[in-house]
Amino acid sequence: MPSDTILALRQIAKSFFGAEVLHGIDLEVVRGEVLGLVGENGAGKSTLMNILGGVWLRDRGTMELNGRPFEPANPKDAQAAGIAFIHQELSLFSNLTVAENIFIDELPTGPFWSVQYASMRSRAQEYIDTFGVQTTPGTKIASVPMGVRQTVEVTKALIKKAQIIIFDEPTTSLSQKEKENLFRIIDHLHREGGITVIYISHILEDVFSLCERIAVLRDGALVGVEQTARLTKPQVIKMMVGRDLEQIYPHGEKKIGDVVYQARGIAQGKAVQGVSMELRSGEVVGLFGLMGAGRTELVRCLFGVDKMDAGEVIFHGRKMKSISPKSCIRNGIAFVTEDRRQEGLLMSKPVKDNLVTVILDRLTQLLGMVSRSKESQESEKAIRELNIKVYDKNRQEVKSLSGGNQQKVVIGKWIMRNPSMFILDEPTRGVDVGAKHEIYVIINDMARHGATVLFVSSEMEELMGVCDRIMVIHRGKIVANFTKGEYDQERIMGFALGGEGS
Amino acid sequence: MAVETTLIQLNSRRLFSFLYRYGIYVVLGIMIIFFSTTNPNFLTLKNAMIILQQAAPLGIAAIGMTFVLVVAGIDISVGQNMYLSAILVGIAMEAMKPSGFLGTFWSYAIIYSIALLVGGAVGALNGLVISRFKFVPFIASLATMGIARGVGLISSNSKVYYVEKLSPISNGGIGGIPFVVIILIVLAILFQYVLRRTPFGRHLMAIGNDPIAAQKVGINVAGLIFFAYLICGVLAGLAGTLSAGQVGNVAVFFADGNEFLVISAAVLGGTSLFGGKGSVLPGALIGIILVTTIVNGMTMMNASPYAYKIVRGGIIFVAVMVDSLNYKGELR
Amino acid sequence: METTMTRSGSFGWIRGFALNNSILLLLVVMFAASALFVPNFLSPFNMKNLLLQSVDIMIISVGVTFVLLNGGIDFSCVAVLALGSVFGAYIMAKSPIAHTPYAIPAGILAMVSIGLLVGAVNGFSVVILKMPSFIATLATMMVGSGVAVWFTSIVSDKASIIGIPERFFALGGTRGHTLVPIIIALALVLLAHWLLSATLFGRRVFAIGTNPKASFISGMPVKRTVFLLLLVSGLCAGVQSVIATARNQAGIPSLGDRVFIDIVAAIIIGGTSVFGGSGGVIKTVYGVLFISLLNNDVNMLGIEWYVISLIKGLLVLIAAFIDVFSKRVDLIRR
Repeated sequence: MPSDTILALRQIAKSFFGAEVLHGIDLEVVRGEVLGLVGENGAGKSTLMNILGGVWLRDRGTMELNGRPFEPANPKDAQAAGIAFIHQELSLFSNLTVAENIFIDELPTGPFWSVQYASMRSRAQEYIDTFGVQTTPGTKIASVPMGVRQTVEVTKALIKKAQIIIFDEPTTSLSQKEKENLFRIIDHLHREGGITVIYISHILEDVFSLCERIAVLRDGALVGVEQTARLTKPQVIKMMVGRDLEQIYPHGEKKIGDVVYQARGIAQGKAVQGVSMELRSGEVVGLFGLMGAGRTELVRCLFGVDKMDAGEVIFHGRKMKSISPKSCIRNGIAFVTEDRRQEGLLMSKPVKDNLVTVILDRLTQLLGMVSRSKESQESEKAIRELNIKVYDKNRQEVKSLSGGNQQKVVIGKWIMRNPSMFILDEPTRGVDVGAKHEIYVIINDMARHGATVLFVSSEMEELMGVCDRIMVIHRGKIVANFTKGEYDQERIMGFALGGEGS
Repeated sequence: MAVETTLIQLNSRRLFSFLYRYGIYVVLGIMIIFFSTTNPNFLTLKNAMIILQQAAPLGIAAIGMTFVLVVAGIDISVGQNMYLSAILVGIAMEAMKPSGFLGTFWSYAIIYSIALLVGGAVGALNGLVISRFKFVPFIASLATMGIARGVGLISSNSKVYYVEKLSPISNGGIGGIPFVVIILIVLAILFQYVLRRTPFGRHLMAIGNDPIAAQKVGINVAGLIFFAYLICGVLAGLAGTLSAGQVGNVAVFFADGNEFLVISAAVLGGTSLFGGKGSVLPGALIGIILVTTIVNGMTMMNASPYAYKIVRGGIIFVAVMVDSLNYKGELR
Repeated sequence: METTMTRSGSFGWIRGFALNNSILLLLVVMFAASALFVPNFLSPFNMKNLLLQSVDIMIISVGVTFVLLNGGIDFSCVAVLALGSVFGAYIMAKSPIAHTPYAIPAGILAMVSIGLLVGAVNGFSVVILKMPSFIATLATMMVGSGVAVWFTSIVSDKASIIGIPERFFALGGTRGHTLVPIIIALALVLLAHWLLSATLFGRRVFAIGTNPKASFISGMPVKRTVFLLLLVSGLCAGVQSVIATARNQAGIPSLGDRVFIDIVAAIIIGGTSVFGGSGGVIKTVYGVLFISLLNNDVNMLGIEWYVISLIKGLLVLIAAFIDVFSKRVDLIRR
């Protein structure tokens, strides 16, 4: 191995629940370089980095750090070996100061176990000065803005004598100035400190300006690693998405009717910046965006799960006065959340109980009693129609079902209400191929019966296969609209990445 | 989308944050003024000493409670812990009486050691069950409360034990300042130091703020939580014995309900029930002084005895309400 | 209604049944053991006592179960006992309308209303002020019991309020009216069980207790339901205070001082989870019977009453342990 290779990954493979997500990755990282790692959601970037960071164990393959075998059994091992992983969720304590957070696991002590605040402060100040961190050692993290918090986390990594620092989507919640500061720090790190940086991001301009080499992952395989100078953005995009459409999507006759749903000027904080859309009955509209684009925030606002700062919704010609889950349901709108375990299902409850959650009031008759027979009938119907594999709907807890079946339960509970509009947020996440197909069929059927479907996904291929129209969202704004026939993977990704055409 | 703050909004925000931080002193001040108008004997040095002396034992327990609250826990066994410690001390004293051993330096050393050990045992039980077996704190401490009480009642056969021999320390003083007050102040300074200036204390604060992140950065979350409950138990044991000396005997209803006074004092002093925020000095101290002042003042104005519970309930309600206003979690 | 399959396999059915109804098994075993080892256990006198003793905490425990199903607790239930008792007794014995035909109905109404009032205050504190239920109800408990004692002191020169018309005592099961409180308790238990297992409200309670966020997104009125839970708990405590006052034949402000741990122990040992989402009325009924059996045995065997505190504490610990144990989430596979 050439002496300037700090990290060598050979044939790294990993499977989850029987599905292989990383297929034999070979990658060599040069000492002191800034390596960009790009790929769609689900391409395997996080998985690979988690293996490197000791969070997950690889199934096959070897890793060598500085020429010696590297097999971290947990994050602490990786840290000790010099790998620092700056995740999106920072491990900072808002009730402690910047200095305390930086030195949290090695607070310097003096006589009587007293923390040496003075020396801690001056050491922290050194780092603050070196990196231009916009804060003071004595400020509580709670008062420190996000971008600065990130640099504090970086400082923590440096104290550990990190040799390799991995940044995972670091700029999603940063302002322009904060971003520039981060880049300056990264620059300093690798120039002065000789530290190797692996930079994961969707924002291609940043990757191009920061990184010396770019590695592209697609569907769990390394498509290529090349010097940045020899690459163009369109080339990278092509490497990210270039694939043949393998899956077969349902076809069917259907009519697209009039506009039934209008959203105008939806805004929330920094995540959603004035979104408007018009959806028709019978239409399946896709919403494509990368992580941090604001998709989930947008749809949560539309359903009233989170409050929107501004905007209005007009449904079937009437303006919705108050937007809350209850009012949306009453109007005939359904919402399948992104996280079915936390927000979509009652995990410890049986399948039947979950299926009837939204229609309970409809099953209620005299004296507020829920009709058991109707409950049973309706849930049987849903199980049949959606082909949910369960052997005892009354007793089997939903947590024992496979991901695909769980998702079908979530969809089933909403279908029971016969809504005229469905908002689906990543409905096929964590679902096996067979169930995925079934869900596409379900979506198609919904539309054929005249319902409107808003299909949010980060998987371009399925959107292209199922939707009549795809909207692309980037940084809280809808930046493009493609109709069927105009679909072009690279162009769609281009908009999602950079807001402008490639 | 810049938000413009008007002068009024800015001022009201400043007012609220001032009230939030210093409100308790304001309330204490108002209480003192109010009570001194109802009884001329209230605002005397002698009465101030009485208040401090009464407050001291519970104040010691409040110090321990602060640590538990900081890690977002709770310990409602404190009252019965005090009872158990006091009873076992009383039994030990009874055993020492015949031989005349009682009254010597060593007898006191043994007695107070018992108090600390027993308190520590109860605290350790809480800590073990909560940190290792992941019990919900208030259920765990509810169970411990029952156990402590049971053990205490069995050991004593529900008899009253007379502990006047504890009086020299519990009621004595030096230079006009009661011993218990000195002990309280020393412990307060010590534990405030621990909380603010030792890694242990800082790690407790981190755990209360974000236990998952604390685990990630390598803090021994389970171990530290155990310690917090251990400290609370030990201090409660001490508080029980000191308080018993003041009362003179340990009856079946001794220290009954004290846990809520202790919790109120800690919360009033600025320690949040939700963890991550706490203060021993001045926090817990001011809290217990406020509570005791109110009780004392009410006694001086011959308030009907029933008003006490009502007022205490009102106090804890307001204290926690203010604490809860910032809480963004689920409704449980 | 609450049986869920927790194990698979051919004997999973039996294990599932045993786990879900272990309290019933325990109860049967305990009863059998008592019949064998406790002298005069099966005498009609003792059986009657046993039943009446269970009634003493049955209704109030069922009410508090509702709150526990949401992961909360209601400390104030015992204060409602005291408060209701003294106010009701006052109305029936010493107020201007005492000894009129209106006295007893008015008294009963007052006692139940106090329960509702306290429940509403608790509901407000938890839902609107977002206070944790255990502090909110703690505060209400302290204020409530303080008021009860104070009120007694001003309307009576003794520690309790006596002079209630004798007809009222029928509700407590005196002199041949033994069945009355038992029937009332039974009726309420059945009503509560029906409410939880058959109605829309009951389904919502379980869903919200299991996962409030998912329930909210599914359109359930979370705030309203939590409020109602506290209201129900207060109401049940109010009804219990009617029976308690009748049993004691006086308005007693210290009513309930010692029963809180019995109530909580009954609910937890019965199998309702402190995390919310699982449990129920029937389970609490078994728990109450168990605790009453325990108390009865201790009495009959002449064991000093304080041993019981220890035993109860240990039992709660064990039950809570089983609760935590059965909720262990599977480790995320690496």
